[in-house]
Amino acid sequence: MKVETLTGPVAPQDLGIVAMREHLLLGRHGWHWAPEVRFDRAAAFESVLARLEAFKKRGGGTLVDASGITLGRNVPFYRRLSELSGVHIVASTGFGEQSSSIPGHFLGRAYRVSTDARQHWVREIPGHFYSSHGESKEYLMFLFYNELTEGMAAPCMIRTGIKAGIVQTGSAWDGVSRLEEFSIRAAAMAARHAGVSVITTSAGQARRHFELLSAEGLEAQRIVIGHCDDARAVDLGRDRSFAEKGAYVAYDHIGWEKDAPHAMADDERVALVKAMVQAGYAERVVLSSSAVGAAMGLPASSHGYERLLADFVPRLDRAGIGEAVLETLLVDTPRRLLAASQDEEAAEQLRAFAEGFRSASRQQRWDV
Amino acid sequence: MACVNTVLGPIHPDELGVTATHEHILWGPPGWEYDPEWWFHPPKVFAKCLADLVEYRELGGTTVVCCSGIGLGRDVELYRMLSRYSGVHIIAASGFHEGRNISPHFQDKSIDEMAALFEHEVSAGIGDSGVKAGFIKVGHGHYDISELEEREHRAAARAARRTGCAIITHGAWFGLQELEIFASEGLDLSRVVVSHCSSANVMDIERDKAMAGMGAFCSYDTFTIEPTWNVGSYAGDDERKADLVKAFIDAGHIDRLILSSDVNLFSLGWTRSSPYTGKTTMADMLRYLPGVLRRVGISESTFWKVMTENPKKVLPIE
Repeated sequence: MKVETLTGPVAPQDLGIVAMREHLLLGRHGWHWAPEVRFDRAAAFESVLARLEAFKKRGGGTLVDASGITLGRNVPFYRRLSELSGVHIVASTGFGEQSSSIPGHFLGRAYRVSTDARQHWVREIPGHFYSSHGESKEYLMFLFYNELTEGMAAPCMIRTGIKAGIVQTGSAWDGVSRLEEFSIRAAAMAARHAGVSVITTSAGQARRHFELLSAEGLEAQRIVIGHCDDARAVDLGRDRSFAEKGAYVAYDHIGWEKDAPHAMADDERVALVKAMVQAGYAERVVLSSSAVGAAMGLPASSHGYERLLADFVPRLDRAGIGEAVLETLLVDTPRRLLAASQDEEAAEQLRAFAEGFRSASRQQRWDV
Repeated sequence: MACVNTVLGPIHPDELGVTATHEHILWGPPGWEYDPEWWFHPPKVFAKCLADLVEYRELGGTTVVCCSGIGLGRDVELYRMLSRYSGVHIIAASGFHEGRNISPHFQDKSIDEMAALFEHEVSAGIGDSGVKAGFIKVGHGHYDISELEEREHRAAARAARRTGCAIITHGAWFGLQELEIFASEGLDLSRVVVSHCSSANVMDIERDKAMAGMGAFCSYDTFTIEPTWNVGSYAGDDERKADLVKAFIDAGHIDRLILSSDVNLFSLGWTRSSPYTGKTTMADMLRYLPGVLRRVGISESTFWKVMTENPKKVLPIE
């Protein structure tokens, strides 16, 4: 049992207090070309480091960067921050909402292909299920699975040896697109094979996300339903039913009330947590603040990662949530969620499948 | 004084010479860099593109217009090196492509925000590179002009009016609707090239005549993209495209005619440049298109004249 962090595998008992959904850098693909986004890499490094150190100082041990692949993740940058701050960082693979985090490359083909031509394409490009890219859950599954087991992709076409520790997935608020469905199913398949958990975004579609993840055989104990404290979709009944099935709900927008229109006030969130605890589901709740270390062309959070421990935990304390429950919320539950539990047999089957997949696609690799 | 922005700086319009107006050096939808299945070896790509450009120059080509917009493979640092060592003028694009290929960061931007972006790239430069874009590229999909694409078109028209640059569209599918949008923004339609009029799935000589009548340029730019190797429904036989060009010339619109081949010297994240789907370059067009056109009665001197004179009418920034 181990947890893959940016500085290597860590024993679950060494994680300490965990913030389950935060962001180090956050920007949508393309911010790089926008003249209005002035990104000072050195200044961003300083500010994220300061936020990590503040988290550490308050007793924080581990932070999950739940941005997925495309929202600014920069593995070498994150790793250096982790080394300097002493905070364990678990990075994520996967995609969230299509409009903000799945760029055109993954949308599959752009034009009609005749029936004959489709046969031709399948024959000519071994290793590519169907036409190409995102138009199959298997394609995305391998993308995510390789990041969990071989190492994450970094800028400049570098495959680092640093593995993702969790899969982030999700959809738009008001529906699940075709591609988002592939991405959610792929997240479940990759997480099941690698023995890690999935955390979702967009509580508007929480039930649908849970259905899709379960349909691909992911156990409820590996599913964290994120954003359950979004003021547009607060639903204790829903949260209890997820908990009853063995899944987890995340109240992960602590501290956003001033910065985001649909974030609830922290005191209301305390009431939510308290209700779940009183219903006997203390073990099914995780907490976080979705703070942003440095944002590129998106709204940043005014609060830092320490907000959870410096402000929210004292509120829970005042509301009568005891020491033992706090330990469960902040330490025990995340530890269970993050510890990888790989089923060796399933992994072996997949390795054999992947080997066939790769050698077939290498046979006719172009050499420019 | 009118000039043309190339990646190595402004040149005089009379320096353009033989110009391939709709080509791509690198092209690919955004996001391939996250997908290791499609990573490549940059020195090999540089060498491949350089060899192709040198061949293009040796066959008489002078200028290549790279229609890859923001986030679509456009790499002006690379283009500068390629231009410096091949001697071919390279013109880089501002603007985007069809909506699905616009990077997520830009998808929710307003018309004015996009217009400011395009204007900045044409008049101040692309990022911190100091390279100015030479024109604005816009596009729409095969099925409609979406709300996002309409914003893109309007923004391009406003930026083109402010800077005096041309617009090249990915857009015969709804070419007339595109021109209506541009006209409603007050743009002089002789600043517009409507591309892909020779796509197999949208050939329509009446539409082309109407667009030329409105002053726009019609670009028959898919020569060399044939169904023998390309599975897209836009791929067609070059003979049929030549017939279309002949009809367009016979209708009296030779001064609105653009010829090009829309090849990617290297494709990012898709298969156009892989050997098993056929590999063509803009040099191939210079090598064999005169022969294809001669068979339908267009002389070789007409071909070279069209390649030289017509881009010069639309590309210069006044």
